[in-house]
This record gives sequence, C-alpha cells and structure tokens, in this order.
Amino acid sequence: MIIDLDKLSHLANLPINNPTEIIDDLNKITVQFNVLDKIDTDQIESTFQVNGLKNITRPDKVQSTSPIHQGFFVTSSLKNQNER
Amino acid sequence: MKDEINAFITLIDHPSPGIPIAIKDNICTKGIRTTAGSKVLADFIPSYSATLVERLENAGFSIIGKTNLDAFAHGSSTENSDFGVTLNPYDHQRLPGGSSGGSAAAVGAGLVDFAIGTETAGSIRQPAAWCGVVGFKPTYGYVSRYGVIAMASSMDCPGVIANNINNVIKVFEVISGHDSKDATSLSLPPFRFKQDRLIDGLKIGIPKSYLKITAPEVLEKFNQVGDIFRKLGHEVIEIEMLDPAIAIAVYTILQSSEVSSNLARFDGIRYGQDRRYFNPENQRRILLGTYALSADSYEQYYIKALKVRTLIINDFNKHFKNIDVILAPTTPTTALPLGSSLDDPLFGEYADQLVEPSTLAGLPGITVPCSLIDGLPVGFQIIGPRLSENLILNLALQYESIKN
Repeated sequence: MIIDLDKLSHLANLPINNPTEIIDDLNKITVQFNVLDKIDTDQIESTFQVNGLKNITRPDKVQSTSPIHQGFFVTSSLKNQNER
Repeated sequence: MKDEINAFITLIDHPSPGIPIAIKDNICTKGIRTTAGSKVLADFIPSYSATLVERLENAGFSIIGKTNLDAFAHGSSTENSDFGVTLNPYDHQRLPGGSSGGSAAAVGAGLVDFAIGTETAGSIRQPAAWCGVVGFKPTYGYVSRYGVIAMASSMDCPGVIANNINNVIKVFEVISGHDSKDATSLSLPPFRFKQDRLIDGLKIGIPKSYLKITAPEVLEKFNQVGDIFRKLGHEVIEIEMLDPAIAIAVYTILQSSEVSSNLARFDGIRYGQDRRYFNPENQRRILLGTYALSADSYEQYYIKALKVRTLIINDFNKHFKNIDVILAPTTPTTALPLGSSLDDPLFGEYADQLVEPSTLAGLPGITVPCSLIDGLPVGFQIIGPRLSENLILNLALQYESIKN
C-alpha cells in the first residue's frame, strides 16, 4: 500500500514532523484491514447509524462559481449596492 | 484531596455542596476548564455545560474535578494524555486503561464513588476492569452527547463508572433520556430501574472466539463467573460469533474516519491552539481517517467497513434470538505495565478487542469486577440487546449480591 503523506498532510491540514515514523505506523495499522478483503459484502447495506437514523445527502454536482480574479472570487460591491 | 495517581487534570478548589462526582475532561463544564486531555484545548473554558452535567447538577451532584484521559479519548492507557499518565490504583507501575482512565482510577482509589466516562469502543469498560470497579456503557443514544467533545460520533456514548452497581443505577437514572439538543438521542424518558430479585432461567451465551484471545489466567477466573451464573439457575452455553479481529479492522477505519472529520474544527481559530499541538496518536488517527475517506480509498475501506459493521450487528441480532445476554471477559489481560502502549500504534485496538464488537453495534454492556490475579483486578462483562439495560443491571446485581 502506497501512502502519499504529503497529500494526506495537505488534506488534513496537519503539519508532519516525523514522516518516517508516521508512515511506518500507518502501514502497520492498514495491514490489519486485509481481514476485511475476505468478507463478501456484495448484498449488504452500509450502517452509518445504529439507531435507525438515515443520512440525508444529495449527489455531488459541479456548479459554476463566481468568476475568479487574481485568486479572489469576484462579487458585486456591497458598498455600491447600499449607495444605490 | 490528594491525587497521587494523577487521576484529575483539574480539581475544583471549593466544590458546591452536593453529592461528589468526577467528570471526564472531554465533557464540557460551564466555567470549568475542559481540555479533552490535549494541549490543543489546554486553556479552553466552555461557555455551556453538557446536558448530562446540567442534569447531574440539577439532581444535587457536585463536580469535584475533571478526570484525565488520552488526548481526545484517543487511546486505552491514558499514556496519550498531554497531562501525564494516570497510575493504576492497585499498582502504580501499571496502566489504568483508557481512555476514561482518570475516571476509573479515581473511583478505584476511593477518591470518589461515581465518575462519568465516555466510551467509543471500550473506553469505559476496559479501564473499569483494570481498576477493579463497575463500568456501564448504555445503548447508544440513551445518554445525550450534547457537550461531549466528539471523537467518533456514530459510536460515542457517555456512561457511568462507580464503586458498585447501585451507584451506577443512581447516576444513569439522572443522565439518561431524550435530549432535543442531540440529533442522535433516543426518544425515551429517563431510565427507571425495576429490580427483579428472582431473575433466573436466562440463556447466557459465551462467544468462543472471545475466549481464544483471553489470557489463560483471566480465563480461569472468568470460568468461575460462568459457574456462578449456572448455580444461580441460568443456562450458560458457548456460542460462535464473528472473530473480534474483524471488529478491530472495522472500528479502526470508522473511528479514524470520524475522528478526521470531527477534529477538523480544531484549527486554532475557534478553539484553543493550532493543529501543531495534536500529539502523535491524534495525528496518526487524523491522517489514517483522511486516508480512508480520500477518493482512492473510500469504497475499499470506509464503505467496506460500514457494510461489515452491518454484518457484526446482524451477528448479534441472530444470537439474541436464541440467548438473552452475552457473557465474556472484559479484557484479554489484567492491567499492563506503564509504557506498554508507547511503541504500539495498535495497543488500544487489542486492549479493547472484547468490547469493540458490541460498541460497533451500539449495544449496552456492563463490566463487573470478579477477582484478582497477582493483586490486579479482573472484570467480566454482560452485553445485552439494545435497550436491555434493566436486564443486564439486574443480572449484574444478582452476581454482586452473591459475591458480597
């Protein structure tokens, strides 16, 4: 298993001081996940909540954003709107 | 009070009059520092109290201190606390367990009769067993999580650690019941215990797979517990359940995934210090969870674990059609020496492996001390179906009365 620690560190917003140790530990932990590979879960539903609650989610959908100028979203000026 | 075992992170100088109780330090207490055992929150003073704290105070309890824990409840030893390890009251060279190690040790040392702990997978029952006290984890959702600093929200469950079962019941009756501030709270009134002194003829199942991973000396003491229940008129049989190793993998994936999400809020802007202050165990769990939830691994790990969780729940449900409760050792060993958790990133998973399956299923469970081995306590647990609190508390009381 290849773990890209720089990518994880970025995604988790977490600075890492001891990358070698962390990678070793993560590899030791993820090895135990192999026990799940042998289990057939084809017709099995996921359990997010044990007390019957259902997650209400919507599919991810790409939408257009406001235009970006020099790294900032461009919006109409609140000050000008108030002055109008 | 002298706290020679470092059970408390904060002791209250002048507690208000009332029945003394200790609160695990990942539970918000208005005006009292709440650290979660982490330097990230070393100076955090909540502006509100958790629902369970409010209920305790309204019922006449008085908080005497906030107890030590593995930072953000990540661990099973208290060695991951940023405020130093708690010592086992039976042997100061041994661990108290965790993450509610401070609460269990405070009760075990006689500093307090009751304490509140939280359990995500064993964090009440495992330290209670190692410290020779009673630890009770109710059905998920029976006690509000509002004001409890979240670890893994689909499993987190506050509960009670006390010096006897009647004291567990007293506290549980106060803290249980619906809370509109917690979306996962069950729509139930507060628990009211109904004692059944003549309870007998129950069918009690002992999972063979749990016994295989239990140390022989612990097993010997546990077998004596089974004999006592037989003498009390119950039928005790061995049952085949899923290997706890499966639950370890499922728990590790789901818990770390939820941890990575829940701990994203600690960015140094809204609460406490910035993310450099997370200790190595916190970092490991955040990174592992981020990995499990990343696009490349989501299906392979996270979704797979959620599906196997369903199989674990089905396994319990299948057995509870034929038996009333499950009886098992609480921990595979007695308390381990100080330092045992430091070089093993999987220490907690193995220390908690006999309680993890039932927590994943949201079931209630209680650990009761049954014996000593070389001066160290041994506990056994009773696990029941959802909302079988009255049954397992009665059974535990029956055992306690015989032992006493």
